[in-house]
Amino acid sequence: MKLINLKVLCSLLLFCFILSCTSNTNKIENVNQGKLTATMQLSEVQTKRIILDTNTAPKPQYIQIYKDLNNILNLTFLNTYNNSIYFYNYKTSEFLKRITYDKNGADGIEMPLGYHIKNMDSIYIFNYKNLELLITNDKSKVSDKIPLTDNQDFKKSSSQSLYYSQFLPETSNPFLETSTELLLPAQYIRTIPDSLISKIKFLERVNLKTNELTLNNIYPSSLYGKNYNWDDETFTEVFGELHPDGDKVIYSFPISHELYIAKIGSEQYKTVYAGSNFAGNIVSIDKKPNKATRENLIQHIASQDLYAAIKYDKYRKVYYRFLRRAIPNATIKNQIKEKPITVIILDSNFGYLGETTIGTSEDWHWQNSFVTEEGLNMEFIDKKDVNEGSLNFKIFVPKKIK
Amino acid sequence: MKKIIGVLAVFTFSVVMFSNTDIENQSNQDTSLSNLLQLNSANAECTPSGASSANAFCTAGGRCRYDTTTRDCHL
Repeated sequence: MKLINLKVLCSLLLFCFILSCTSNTNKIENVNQGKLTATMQLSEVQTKRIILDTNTAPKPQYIQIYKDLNNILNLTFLNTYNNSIYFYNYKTSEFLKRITYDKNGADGIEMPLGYHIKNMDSIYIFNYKNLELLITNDKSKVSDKIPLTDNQDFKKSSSQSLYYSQFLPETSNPFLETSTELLLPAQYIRTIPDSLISKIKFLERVNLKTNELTLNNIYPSSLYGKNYNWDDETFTEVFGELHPDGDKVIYSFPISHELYIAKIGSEQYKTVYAGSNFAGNIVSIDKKPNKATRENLIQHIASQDLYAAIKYDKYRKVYYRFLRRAIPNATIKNQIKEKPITVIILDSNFGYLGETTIGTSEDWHWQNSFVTEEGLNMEFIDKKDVNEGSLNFKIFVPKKIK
Repeated sequence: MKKIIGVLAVFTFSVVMFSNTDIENQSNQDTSLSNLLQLNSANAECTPSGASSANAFCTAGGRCRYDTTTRDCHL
């Protein structure tokens, strides 16, 4: 009898031990894998080359296309090395001017990650160092500061990072301007504790008149809840795009084959399928965050199909959704930049039109992608340009498959 | 028979416990070294943390981000 009790006790201990070593795993199925029919593909139609000065390298941190008062389309970019925004004529590639900001002091911007030029008197710059939005002008003066977290010293208070999302702008995931607000799609950096899933909001809305900050939109529990291990920003980045109606935001979560659409200010989502014909099921890491090594993390990212930016092309009434494809049989020797980059083309109702794989991140800095009248611009890395003398783009348009 | 099953259960449990602990120790040792190698090669943007650094996490892509408890890199 005693031995039987001992057996039961041992089995229970063993069960508890196994449980403590594993975590809940989420498996997100691609219900339409292999069932979609392509009618369109991306076709390269143009190359654009912008000559850089000696202080500027390719792959700038952030790019904004901005139409100035003279109706000239400007390609602007952020040079974090000399804290400057550069202006070029997009059509002619001619250099126009640059605005340089101090690093320190009353007008200093310590760590700019992105900006939004509304006009030359209102240039919003995001300073990651203090997680704040600075309102500046083309004279390099800072006129106002908008804190994006509670007004505390978050460097000493780790609760700031626990309860708040962080805005990490990229050209492909930029500031979004509506008629009344500037929208900042932020993100939680690490696995979201299940106890906070309904509390952490990722959309930061700044009123353009009052500078008031409002937070909205939580991570879908079915994707990120139950302490599933998505312990890196690669899984949790929230890519946003304004719906052409102007009153909704479309979200592309890396781990979902669907897009999530919310009316601005609403917490309700409508979901639409917008997946790839080739993407497989997406699974979370099968270890607890503190048990997964850095190697485990990189290998897991390499082995998964992960969606990225969603861009609307108002000239052609189509959407482009980026996908970082899985590396088959990924090992710890694989690097994230080896993942193939695919662009999925969707019609204005998110119907599937086709998809094209352009290459890997070794040849493309897809994060610098934007839409112009000419098509979808994507930065490519010219390996022959050893002096890093130019910023290069290839422009794609969707074409029917013959 | 019951005695044999009981003894076997205890023995199996002990072996599993011992081997798992061993693997974990081994994996932790590997991780420390590989972390250093990773940081040196692919993650140039994560600079080492210092006394004045805030809690920050070095992401898989080599970016340094504010974090709750980790101090992987300097911010």
